[in-house]
Amino acid sequence: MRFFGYIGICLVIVVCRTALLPFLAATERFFDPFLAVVVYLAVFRPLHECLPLILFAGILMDTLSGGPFGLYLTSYVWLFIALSLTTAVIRMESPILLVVMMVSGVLLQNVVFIATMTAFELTLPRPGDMLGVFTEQVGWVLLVGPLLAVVMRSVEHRARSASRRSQAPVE
Amino acid sequence: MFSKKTVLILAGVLLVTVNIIFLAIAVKRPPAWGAGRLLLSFVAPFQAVAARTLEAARQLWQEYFQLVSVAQENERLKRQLEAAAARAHLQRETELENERLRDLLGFKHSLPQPAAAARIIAKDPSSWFNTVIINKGAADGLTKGLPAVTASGIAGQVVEVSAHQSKLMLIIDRSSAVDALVQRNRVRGVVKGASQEECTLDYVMPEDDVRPGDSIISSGFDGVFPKGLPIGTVSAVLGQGKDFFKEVQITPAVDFNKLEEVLVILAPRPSAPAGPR
Repeated sequence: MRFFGYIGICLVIVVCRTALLPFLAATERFFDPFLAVVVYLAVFRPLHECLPLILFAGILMDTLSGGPFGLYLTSYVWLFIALSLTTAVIRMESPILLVVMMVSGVLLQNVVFIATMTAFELTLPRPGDMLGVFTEQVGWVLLVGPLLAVVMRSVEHRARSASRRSQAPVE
Repeated sequence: MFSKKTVLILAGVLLVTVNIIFLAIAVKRPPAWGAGRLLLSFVAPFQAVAARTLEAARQLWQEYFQLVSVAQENERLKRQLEAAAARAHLQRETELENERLRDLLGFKHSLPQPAAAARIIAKDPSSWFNTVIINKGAADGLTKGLPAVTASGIAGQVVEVSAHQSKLMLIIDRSSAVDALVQRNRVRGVVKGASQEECTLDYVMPEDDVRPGDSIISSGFDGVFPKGLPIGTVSAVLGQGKDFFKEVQITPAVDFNKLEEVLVILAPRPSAPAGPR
């Protein structure tokens, strides 16, 4: 049931990212909302729940993107691995750290994209354009990230409460 | 002489008689004495105030109800106005769409090949690539490699096809390349994507005469785009670049920020065989 919920969220995000945000001038260079999902999964959810979803999201985005297939998948998987390793050492549930992780996600994704384009000799954008895209995406994360962090914590809190209730012995 | 009881009876009878006589006289001749008028003048203002207050209260009461009904009517009219505005907006959108489709249809008729009109339903999720998803696919006869155009000029090329949708790489994508000619003097080059607003004309020799304002058209040599379709206009010639060739910037003929529909040419027939330059 939860997976259906996740898939529903994925579809909503994809529709927003491809059919809504790019058509509005202000949000044309909005950051990839799946990065927030990856951050949530890495920090709060168990591995067996995360992997199928990350694979699904990555493949979905790669299918829709005009870039080489696997770019999104690569960035999601590496971000997930990096965050999982970090959360194994440091407890990172505070909103500020969640926002920092989202910014790191944007940075990592752009690095993956640029590195791939360089490696495969695709025409790179001008440095000014690259910087513009990155700056704008980070700006959006800083603007929307705190709200997303609060939502993540709230969702997780509810999920834990629901889980405890379902595990409690029936009197 | 008379008992007290008798006096009281007589007084009563007298009072009744006087009263009857007074009434009889008053009936025949209404009193016209000054004190009456004075009293009337004294009481009248109070009566008027009372009457006005009553009237005001009555009016207030009526107006309140009227106001409620006016407010309700106002609300109803507002809703009607909103609905009318929405209809007008929709109509305007339909008109604009109609205009665009007419242009596209006119252009479609001018093409020697059959073409399928498609609507753009989504854009690339990444900021690094310029592709769009259109609502026509293999079921509509689309295949990989077909060119997509608008009435203004070349839009892009189909790079992926599913049953009912296709992915279109726009000519502003950095991976895109279109063999092109300068319309004025037939200088050849390859138009490549550079950013959302511009392309570049690559492989132009330093001695070739290319000037700002020159129209760039498709050469047909790439085997994808029919010959003679507009690609854009030269916006700047920056001289010799790092790689020996001239650096030429082009403003695309198609406004990709406003692109909503395209025509996919179903059976491209290039005017010249494809081959390396």
